[in-house]
Amino acid sequence: MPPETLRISDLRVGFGEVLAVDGVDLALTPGRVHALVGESGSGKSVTGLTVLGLSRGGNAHIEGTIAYGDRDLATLPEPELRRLRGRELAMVFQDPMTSLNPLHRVGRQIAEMVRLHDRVNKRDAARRAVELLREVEIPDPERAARAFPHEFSGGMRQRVMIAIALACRPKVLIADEPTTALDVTIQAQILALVRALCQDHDTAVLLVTHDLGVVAQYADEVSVMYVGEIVETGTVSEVLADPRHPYTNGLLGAIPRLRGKRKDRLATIPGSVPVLTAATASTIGCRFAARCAHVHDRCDDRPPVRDLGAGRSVRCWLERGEDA
Amino acid sequence: MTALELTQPTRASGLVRSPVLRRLLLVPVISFVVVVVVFLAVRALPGDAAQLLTATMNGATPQEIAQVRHNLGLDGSLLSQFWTYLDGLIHLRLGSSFYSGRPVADLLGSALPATIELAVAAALVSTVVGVFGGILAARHRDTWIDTAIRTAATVGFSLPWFALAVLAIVVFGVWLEWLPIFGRLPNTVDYQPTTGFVLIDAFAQGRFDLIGPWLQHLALPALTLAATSAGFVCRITREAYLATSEEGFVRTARMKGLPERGIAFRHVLRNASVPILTVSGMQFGSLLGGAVITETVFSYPGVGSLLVEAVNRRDYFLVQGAALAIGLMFTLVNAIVDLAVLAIDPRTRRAT
Repeated sequence: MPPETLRISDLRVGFGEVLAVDGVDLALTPGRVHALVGESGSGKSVTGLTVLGLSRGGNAHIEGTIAYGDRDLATLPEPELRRLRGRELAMVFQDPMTSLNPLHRVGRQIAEMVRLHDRVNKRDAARRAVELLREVEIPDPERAARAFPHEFSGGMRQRVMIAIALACRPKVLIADEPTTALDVTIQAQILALVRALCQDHDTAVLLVTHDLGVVAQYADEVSVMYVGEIVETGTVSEVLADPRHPYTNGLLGAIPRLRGKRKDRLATIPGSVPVLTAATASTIGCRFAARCAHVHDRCDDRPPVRDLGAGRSVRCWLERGEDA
Repeated sequence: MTALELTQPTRASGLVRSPVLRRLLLVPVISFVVVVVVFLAVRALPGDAAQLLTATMNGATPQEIAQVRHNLGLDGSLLSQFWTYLDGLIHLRLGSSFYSGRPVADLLGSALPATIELAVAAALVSTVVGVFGGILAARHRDTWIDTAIRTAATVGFSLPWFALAVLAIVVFGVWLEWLPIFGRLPNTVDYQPTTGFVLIDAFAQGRFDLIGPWLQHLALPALTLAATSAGFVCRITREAYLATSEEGFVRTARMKGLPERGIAFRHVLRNASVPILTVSGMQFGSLLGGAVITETVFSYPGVGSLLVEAVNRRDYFLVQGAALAIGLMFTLVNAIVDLAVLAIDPRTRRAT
């Protein structure tokens, strides 16, 4: 395994009473894509935002460590974290329609990032912006730099957002459902672009998604998240081929398939994601128990994370062979 | 691959492609509507001008009344009257005041600068105070600062002008004797208007001694008038600032590592300025309405005072002229605001 760029250990993020993230461990390595997958409300976006310190403020409380080099991003003072933001830690957001400033030209929005972190003059920053637009494969980048966001389609805006995020060659890129708002053909282009660019520049990527199809195609490692905690981690090929947690299994079963034997109805996981508060977190055992087909007595206690070797781990009492 | 191409701006469908030109062309159109509305409204007022005018003459005969009516051009059909009225407007002949006999155009010529001074001063004060107060409240959201500013703003726009004006007169004019409460300049000052704007004339004529008394006289009416608008602008600014702070591009700016001050000015305020400007522009309309009341209370010689006097004296052509002046001022200010919004927001410049 190559050296880690970033390691999140036992991260807990709460907003007032609600516990959004409760015990997340994951590591990012240079040039590789780590997918964080889960249903809406599982806390995956909050995990991504917390890495950049964007979930701070208000009634948020953050515990645990986010080791980055010799620094801990979870406790790093805001001014120091701000200097890392953009330069070394960048993020692409879910909705490209709102993540660009409608009043500024696209070139200026990229140049703003360049000028903030690299000591260059306005002209060089503008030239760099055009280069970056070319890098994200926007046609006629000189003209595109002078255009306003509303003149672009959603996919093009997300390319601009990627150009902004990668402008300073960050060490870590958080991609928070970057293609959820886009249609499927554009989705493939954008994800392939992110992957290729990050491999070229040795950027470690955390790809937040709810789409296991995306995970299968574009990620190297995957962590499955459920109600604030990670229930299963491993390389994509192993986890998808041999899921060890009933929740992962359930997610895989809920993917509609076009080929092969057609089942009568699409399998679903019964129930919905509960909201976790600090009070309930300490009393319930396995969080998936209420929706799990394999629930038994032991599930009243919180299952430990079991290391299965080679970067694989699972948080479940079930032993191999026990699952039906 | 169509999705990879920059979406082409839609081609203009109208005759005029430039949105700026299109907005400017609207000014004469709206002005014409204002002219028509004022004309009809004045015709709809109870009482006939000729009868009113001849009522002061003892025992005017029907023939004499008819003669007066003919002289005033009020005996033709509504359409021919309108035609005469338009023709007069183009040559700046707005008729004469019944009361003083002076041409309405002259009266307006001396009153308009006074009202513009008052309205601009009030708009400036209310925008500056309102915007700063709104930002301050938004940045200290849900603290005592926010509560204090919001309370002050609510009180500000809840107080009617006449109440505020009377209060200002009693407190600052009578009790504290800090500021004059009457007129535009002291009678002792000899002022020969060139442009009619005291500030401009002070520079043009080198009469810098005018500025002090002028500001003193302007202070109370302008502040009275500004209070309501300031409260309104303050609330709108706070809401716009908070709403914009939640936008995705503000998070993007934070992701870039921009300091909070840079985010506030370059991203939040610029975007929030569009609703703030629009509201301030509309607020100018009620400001003009307030000017009518405020000018009367402070005996400030503007269009508002003129209008109130004219209505009281059934001074037919003066009512018509003053109402027209106020209507056109509002039209012009809104055109300026719309042009400013066009300059700020590229989405509004889209040719449709």
